Amino acid sequence: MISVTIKTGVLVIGGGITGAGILWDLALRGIDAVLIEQKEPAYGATGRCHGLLHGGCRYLVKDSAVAAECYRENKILQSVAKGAIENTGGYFVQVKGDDPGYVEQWLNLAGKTGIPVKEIDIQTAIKEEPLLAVQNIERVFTVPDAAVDPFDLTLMNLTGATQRGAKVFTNTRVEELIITGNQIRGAVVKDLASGESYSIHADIVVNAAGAWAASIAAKAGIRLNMKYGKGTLVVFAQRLTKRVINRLRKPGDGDIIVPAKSVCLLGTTDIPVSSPDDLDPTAAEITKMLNIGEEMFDHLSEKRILRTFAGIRPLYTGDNNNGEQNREISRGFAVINHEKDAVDGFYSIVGGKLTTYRLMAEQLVDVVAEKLGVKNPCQTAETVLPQPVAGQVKLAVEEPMLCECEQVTVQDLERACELPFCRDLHTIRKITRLGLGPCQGTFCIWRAVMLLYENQRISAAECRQLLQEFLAERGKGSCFTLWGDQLKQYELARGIYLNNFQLGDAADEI
Amino acid sequence: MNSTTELDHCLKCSICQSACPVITSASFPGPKLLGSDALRLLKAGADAGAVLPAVEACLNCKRCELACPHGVRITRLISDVKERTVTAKKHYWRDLLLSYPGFLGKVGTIVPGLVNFFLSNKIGRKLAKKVMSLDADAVSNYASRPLSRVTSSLQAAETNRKVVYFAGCYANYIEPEIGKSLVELLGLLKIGVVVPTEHCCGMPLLANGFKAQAKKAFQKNLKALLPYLQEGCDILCTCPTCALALKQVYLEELGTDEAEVLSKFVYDASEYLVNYSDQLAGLIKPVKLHMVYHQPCHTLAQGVGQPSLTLLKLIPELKLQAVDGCCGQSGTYGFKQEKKKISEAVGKALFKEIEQCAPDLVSTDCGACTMRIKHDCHLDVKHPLSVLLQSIKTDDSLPD
Amino acid sequence: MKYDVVVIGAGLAGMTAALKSLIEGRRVVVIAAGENTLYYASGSLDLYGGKENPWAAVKRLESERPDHPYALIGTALIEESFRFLMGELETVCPYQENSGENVWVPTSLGGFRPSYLLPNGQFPAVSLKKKKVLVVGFSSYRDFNSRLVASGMVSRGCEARAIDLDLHYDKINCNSIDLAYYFDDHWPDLIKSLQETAKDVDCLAFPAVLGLNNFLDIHQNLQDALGRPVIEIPTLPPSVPGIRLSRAMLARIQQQGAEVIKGFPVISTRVSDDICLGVYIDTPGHPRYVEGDSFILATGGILGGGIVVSEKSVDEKVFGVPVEVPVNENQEYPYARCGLKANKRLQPLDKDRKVLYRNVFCAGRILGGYDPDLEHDGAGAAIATGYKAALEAGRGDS
Repeated sequence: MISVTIKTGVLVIGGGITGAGILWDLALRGIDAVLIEQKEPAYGATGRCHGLLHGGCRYLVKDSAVAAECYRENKILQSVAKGAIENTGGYFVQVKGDDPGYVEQWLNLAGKTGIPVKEIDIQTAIKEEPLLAVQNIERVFTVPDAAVDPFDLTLMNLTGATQRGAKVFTNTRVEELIITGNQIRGAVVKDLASGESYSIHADIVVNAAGAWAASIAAKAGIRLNMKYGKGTLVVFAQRLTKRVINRLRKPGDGDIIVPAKSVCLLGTTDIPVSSPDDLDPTAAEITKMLNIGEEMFDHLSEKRILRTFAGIRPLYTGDNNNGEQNREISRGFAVINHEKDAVDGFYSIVGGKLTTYRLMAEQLVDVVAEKLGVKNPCQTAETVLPQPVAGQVKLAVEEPMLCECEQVTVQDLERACELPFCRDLHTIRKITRLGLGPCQGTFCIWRAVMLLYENQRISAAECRQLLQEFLAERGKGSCFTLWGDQLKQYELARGIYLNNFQLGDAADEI
Repeated sequence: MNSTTELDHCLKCSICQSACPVITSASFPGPKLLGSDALRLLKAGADAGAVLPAVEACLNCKRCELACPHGVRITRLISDVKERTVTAKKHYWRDLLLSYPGFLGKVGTIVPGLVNFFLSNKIGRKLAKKVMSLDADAVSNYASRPLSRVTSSLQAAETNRKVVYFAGCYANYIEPEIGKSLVELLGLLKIGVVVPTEHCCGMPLLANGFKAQAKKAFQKNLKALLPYLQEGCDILCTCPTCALALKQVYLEELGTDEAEVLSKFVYDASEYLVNYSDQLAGLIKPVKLHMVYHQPCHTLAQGVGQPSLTLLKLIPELKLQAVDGCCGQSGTYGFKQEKKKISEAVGKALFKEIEQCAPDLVSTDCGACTMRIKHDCHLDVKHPLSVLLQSIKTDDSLPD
Repeated sequence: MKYDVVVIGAGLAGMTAALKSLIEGRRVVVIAAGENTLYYASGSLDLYGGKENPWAAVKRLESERPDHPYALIGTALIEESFRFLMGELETVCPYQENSGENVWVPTSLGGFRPSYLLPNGQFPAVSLKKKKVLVVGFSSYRDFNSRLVASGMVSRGCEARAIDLDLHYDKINCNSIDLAYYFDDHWPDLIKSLQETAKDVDCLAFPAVLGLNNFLDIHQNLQDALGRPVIEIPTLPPSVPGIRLSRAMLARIQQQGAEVIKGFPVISTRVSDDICLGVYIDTPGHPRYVEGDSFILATGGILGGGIVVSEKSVDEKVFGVPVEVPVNENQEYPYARCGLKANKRLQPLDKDRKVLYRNVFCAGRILGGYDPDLEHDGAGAAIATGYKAALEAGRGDS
């Protein structure tokens, strides 16, 4: 039963950073737009990446044009998206055995591209970053890398857009695209919470579904050639380095560590997979990454690991499909006008990377605006995004708190709940960092559930269900690194919820 | 060594909180929040000002560490947090001054008359309160002669072996009698004693957040003690805090081989003497007194059991009762105006227990505890070794 | 110093073992790394069996799961161990008589969980049926929601309603321990606040935070003053009823003359063939050596720290006894039933089921073959194996 119809100018499919950036750009140009997301914002590759705001250096040797693009975008984002970025700076580290020829080539290209790279002496580097394995380090360079919180960045774009009239529907899936003749008319979508379907009519539909872009295009009978590379990341329980640290060699597995607020991430791998839903890391991948990480960092595998997760890199292969290794495929992006596929008003945006999302959005919206006859120029390079809810790491011992690991206050949670697109605990966690610290929610998820119940946002039955989901989700996140302190933490949570609160089985009767 | 591993071990379970004597203070968030939670976030760039003045309310009693089953050295994490907040301290200069009891002691013992007069004088006390936020009512008198000058005449005794006595500021400057007692007791056992040039153990600096200065003090003492270690001398402390520092804290903070060697040679004086119980028992005469023994937090933290109590039990006819709990003094903490209320609240239960026993005398190993108990219970307080020596030397009950 | 019995670990199992050894007249030392997992548990003592009769379920284990600790001990001795502990705790931390069936206790999630022996203050849900219950919460306390608990009771046939009190307590972010210490002094405030409301109800239910030091008096005084039964509902840890039990047992042990060395783990052992001579405790500076005739290994499971899991291996920390990790039997958690294998005397066995140390006896969660979180048998297994280990330690290594 299709009951409601929403009318808009542009329908954006996908609530990752690309879709969110597009929505923000559209809103700034005064174009009426609606965004739908199948799960929660930043569910896909956006929320499953390093959170590295590239200074460009990683791509110098492979594609110095992309490198230069990253460096430019990095500087722009540092001014408009300050709230999501920590300007940590970065090191590139040459480890014993790494090809010195690569280093020279890299240095040479850095000079040509104008990316500021400076060699520092090893002693200074070790003093700054004691985790570096002193016996293995050959040369260290400083680079303009930074850390970005992909959740915050996505949410800031969505918040900014909704403040300017755009609409966001999360937990909403595309059922079918509405096409009459050669013209796209919108989509039939389904609210997964209520189970209701309705249609959204739009002049333009933008497919920014990331790893799921091919399946959206397929709904219009269009084939997009995509490859999927699974990248696994390891989250450590505390911040082990002050800055981003890259291995100075041809990009490979396990060669970057990125601080992410109170934790840090080691990544990543690149394993070809056939489906964007193939999201499970494997124990072998993790062991391999830790071993490689040990070459650059002392005793890295002894550090407490909170969880591991994998993301899918969707790579657009264009029309040629010659079996290259995934990492070699361009990290550039493509805006595809499906007029060529006989669907007018339908655009896909594929590929790209977090650092260049703004540029991607700009180029796509330029095309869309021209099509709609809107003359307003792009303003995203100058307009400062709204502040995120959680923001930088804080101590809030003087305020009522739910999560003590990440110092998430009662007020943080209430502010998150007020956001129009915040509909579930996952989004709350992304907005506030609730439960993302060492105890992984053992204590704070309980408190959050109690508060949501008190504020009448959830029912008694939902309290139970949310806690069950949380426990299952935790099990998933830590099942490949079940050892050491985090295993004890897991047992503590298991004891509390299965034993004390009888959450496990249904024998919950008098 | 750094605190990364310690942070990793914390399960956020709050067991530590149950053992914290300050936890009943409404303004104290507790060891977990101020230790492992705060340090983890400070390392990630959080603003340190947010944990002031709360973190200064930690007594450094180490009871939380004994409670933690997961091996987190919580007070060590708290000392890292204190270090990061030190420049924002409200009473920076006063705390720095109080952190050098050796310096204060030198001044105090050079001109004891003047200092003691100043502090026993109403105007002096008021001045201390106003200018320094100090509660001078509880401050002890300085001795008229420091220990180092007293003991030098006692070293020539014919001996079987030699130990080093690390006296610490309290025995050096306030109650040299403790040091004299130890030297005499060792003399009876034919053990020679060296009292080297020493500096304050550095724990007051650490507890007040001055970690860099503390480490300098640690290094100085290490250097002074190293020659004796090379001779294979054991090092004895009558102050539980000094003993804990030399055994554990130097190693934790410096992580050097020298600190590790040192730690293995250090003994609490009673821990050392308890091995000579049989010999001592033969010398001890009955004492008809009712005495309460209070075990200091930092003796508890050494895991040596209650050797002083074992020694005191050697005294025939001495009626002994043991009490448990923190006195709330913690070095100079209890002297600070803004800490007075917390300190009193912490000690309340202990003092009540002592008073209910109605003893003739209290005995405890720690100088800070001694000052506090004297002041709050109006009872005479003696170091166990002083009690022991007097039971050997006198025919009847203990004189004052 | 040489002891008759050296107990390593001061949880429910270790402390039961120490108590039994002391009552038998042995010289006992208890060594513990720190506090125990009672701080995480509800304070009620579980046996086994859920909806079934627990003793029948326990009996069945003997044939069905011979590696289960209960199967090693036998029903008669399990009963004896419970009686022993209840007797020891009678005046310091009393538990209620049980008719031999499991009881269902309210949880702070608004549901019920099965248990066997309830401490003073906890009530079986069945006694609340058709009663008017007032669930009392505290507005500053994040870990307990009175409305949620009341709604759970209503859905199960009680006439419950909720009320939240504003305490004159300005601690931000207080938890159960903060409140328990607060009520040690301020319990009379509750009478003032509730005297009137209490008249309209049959009983009052609180989160289990009503005092740590004087909890028995406080409970009695509240019941007397309000004229109604006062119930405590276990909360999110730290668990006040668990701490009470732990402290009561420790005090009893010390009173009976045991030496307790708490805060330092055992780091190594001295053994001669299959006999343990002594253990080294990791005290500051120099390790402390403790000699003994018998040793009771009650260091706990993974959470308790007795078993350490690293990326590459699973190890028992003190003696290096091999740890068995049973193959996953449809469980979400691979280590659910991991632990040591022991014979009926609770001596640890190697992979060929040969006794590794004749004078070492294992008790509590260090033993494998059971999953207390899912099966609710942790407390019973700790008490029974602790008791048995003490008996065996007393018998010596013959």
